[in-house]
Amino acid sequence: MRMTLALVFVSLAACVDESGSTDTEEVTTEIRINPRTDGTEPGYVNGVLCTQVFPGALTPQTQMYLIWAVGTNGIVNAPYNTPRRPNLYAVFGTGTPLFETHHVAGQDQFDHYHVLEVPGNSHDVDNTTWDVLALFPGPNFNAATYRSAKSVRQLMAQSAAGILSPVMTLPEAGFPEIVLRTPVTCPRDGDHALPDAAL
Amino acid sequence: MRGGLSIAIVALGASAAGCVDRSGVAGHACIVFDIRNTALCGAKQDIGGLSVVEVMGGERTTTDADGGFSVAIPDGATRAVLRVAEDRTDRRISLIGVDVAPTDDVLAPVITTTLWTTYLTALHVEDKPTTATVHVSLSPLPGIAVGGVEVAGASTILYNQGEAFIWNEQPPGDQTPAVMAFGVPVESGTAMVNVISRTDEVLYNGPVPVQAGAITWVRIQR
Repeated sequence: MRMTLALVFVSLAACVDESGSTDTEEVTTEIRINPRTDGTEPGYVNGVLCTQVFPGALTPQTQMYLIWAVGTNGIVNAPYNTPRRPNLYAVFGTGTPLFETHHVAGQDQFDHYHVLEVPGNSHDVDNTTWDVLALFPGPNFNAATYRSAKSVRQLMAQSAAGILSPVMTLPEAGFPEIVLRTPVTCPRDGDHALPDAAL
Repeated sequence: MRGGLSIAIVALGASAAGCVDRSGVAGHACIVFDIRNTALCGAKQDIGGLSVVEVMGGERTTTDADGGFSVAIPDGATRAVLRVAEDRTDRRISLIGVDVAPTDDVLAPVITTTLWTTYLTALHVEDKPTTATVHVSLSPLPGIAVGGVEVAGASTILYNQGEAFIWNEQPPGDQTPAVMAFGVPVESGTAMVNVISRTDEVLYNGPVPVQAGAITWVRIQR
């Protein structure tokens, strides 16, 4: 029997116009995850720990990027690091907890966590293709006190403060370029969202 | 050196330059990502087209797309020194000493300039281009813990404490996966390295090649 887990996220956005009346808009994002064939990894979107999906990553047909199974169509044939495509930041070497870490068994040296660039404070992620960039600890990094950045704003603040390195392209770290295809689903209504001030 | 602990590394020494026959050394270059472990190579790294020069005989080649290389060494030489990536500004120059005898898979670590700078910055180490760096990695040596490392003339020696970006000036309580010596003088072309265990066992003792601005990679393994 085919096991398909359908996750349907419905977000209700309340908008107030100048007259003070309230209008309600329904936005629906549906991403199906087959736990037998699709891989998933955590990734932060504007303060919320969301789920990146790699369709087909658990099948023999998956594409591989270095040690990572990225799904049957995970590698996008497109120019890398273009200004209009959103970024997916991979932060290495910070020793973050497993629940927020992309970990491959036996490959601890490549452990990292993700932060995805989504405009505004939205947790509705329509974008599916990403330029992948990397960060590492910086001169003011303290493993004992470090807490993962949960938004791009936090990430850039940590980088500017020297807690993390400047943003690095993948070739600068010795990796090949990649434009990655991964749909992202976030918990409904941002159940685990941080206060805006923390982003 | 204690019997039973085979050291796959370096040492400068005898060379009969000039007369080169078909003998040589072969191996593969590996992009260093996690500086604790220089032997973990990811697939599909950008590792092709790097220059590989056998310093003593002057023979040179370039790595293939997978990082593989084979280079001739002078006839009768028992040791060789490889200089890798000297033609690339986006890679740091690597020096690797090689015992010629069983050498058909020499590991040649290479790190990008940007990532190396990132490590130095995070570790608060000044990059002095007139001096050398010696990196010593230790494959797991069960039951053996590093007691101390000496690298002649080094201004700073840092011991990895387990996490990739945690290095201190003293060995950790348990095993040390890697040690880095910075500010190593290069005038003589070699630097004496002495690695001893906590029980005073000599894990390595000998000269390694050094060059200004280059990283000498030494690997101690069973």
